[in-house]
Amino acid sequence: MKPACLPVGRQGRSIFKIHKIMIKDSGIKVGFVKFKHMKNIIIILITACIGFSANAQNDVVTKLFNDYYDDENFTKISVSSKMFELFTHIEPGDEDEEEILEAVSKLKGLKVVAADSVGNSKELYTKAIKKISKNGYDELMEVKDAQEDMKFMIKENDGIINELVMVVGGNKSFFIMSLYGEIDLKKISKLSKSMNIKGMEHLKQLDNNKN
Amino acid sequence: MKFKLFILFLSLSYACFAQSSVITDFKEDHDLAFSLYFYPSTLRMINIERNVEYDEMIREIKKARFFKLDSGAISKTELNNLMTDIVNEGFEEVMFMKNKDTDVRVWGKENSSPELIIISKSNEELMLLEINGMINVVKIPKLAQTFNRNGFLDVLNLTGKKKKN
Repeated sequence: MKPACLPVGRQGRSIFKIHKIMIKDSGIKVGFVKFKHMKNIIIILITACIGFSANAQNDVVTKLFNDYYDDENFTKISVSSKMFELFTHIEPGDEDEEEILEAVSKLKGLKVVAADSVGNSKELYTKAIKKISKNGYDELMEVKDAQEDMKFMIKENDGIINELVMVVGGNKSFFIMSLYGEIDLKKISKLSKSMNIKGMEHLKQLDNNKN
Repeated sequence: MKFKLFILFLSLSYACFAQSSVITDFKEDHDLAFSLYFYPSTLRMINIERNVEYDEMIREIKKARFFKLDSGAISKTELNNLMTDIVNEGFEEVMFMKNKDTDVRVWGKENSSPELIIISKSNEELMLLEINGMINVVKIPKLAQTFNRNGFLDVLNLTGKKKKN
């Protein structure tokens, strides 16, 4: 007996087989199989879309990161979510540490591109800001002084900050950092104070700005 | 029965302090400039001035191995094979840092306690660090501020390594 609905059968042998069995039982069940299969396709598509949007989240910074990957003038740092997961094994010694580790455990990744002696740092800064602004990031804060310009941008979803991008352009220095995951600005600011890492000190500005 | 329990205990102890066989094989196959092995007691021992931040940082490290070899002692293919073997052993790359002089890669694995393998390659040398347990990263910055006050036993000098001026 030939299946009533060939297009479904054409997609794969296993589908065809199930289809055939169902035909023997009743025509109504064929519709059910088709629907059930469609549901799987929809689930796969949704999962793929979620995966894609999660990747697309820091797409601009990833692109910038890749652009400068082979340029020896730039230092590139990338930290994956697994690293932050490993930090959850640390037993906090006090409340401050607990707060920092809690903030860190919600992070999904960190990417840094930095250079401290590039001639076109201001140009790089303007170019990076333009690229990031075009991709749906909201400006959070801007600091300008004689030495350097600094901009913080965020991507927000349902009131939760999913990505924080910091771009710094000095006379000869350029720094771009993307921090993604679930971000609590207050805790990240505290983290930056305690970490005292070159470039990260700019995050303190977030807290200063609030006060 | 007692014998079985003894074997089980030995197996569990081994699992708790298991080291990467890839690193062990690598160590045996290469001419190392020097190697250092650290246990909680030896890690605490080098902290002459009893720096609290340092003690806190190493608190959860169960064992660490450090190997160093000249860059010329390992070919690019051998290094690539080593990195592939690390991944095949179940480690996941968790971090990398690349600049003009140095290429640092970090792999991590979650067992009963985390394991980290760090490879740092420069033009002159290749350093390999394997940590069983976890470094308390929160303490690193504070420690970095105090690290140059000679409060630590310079294990590199103990092995005959002269500081470059």
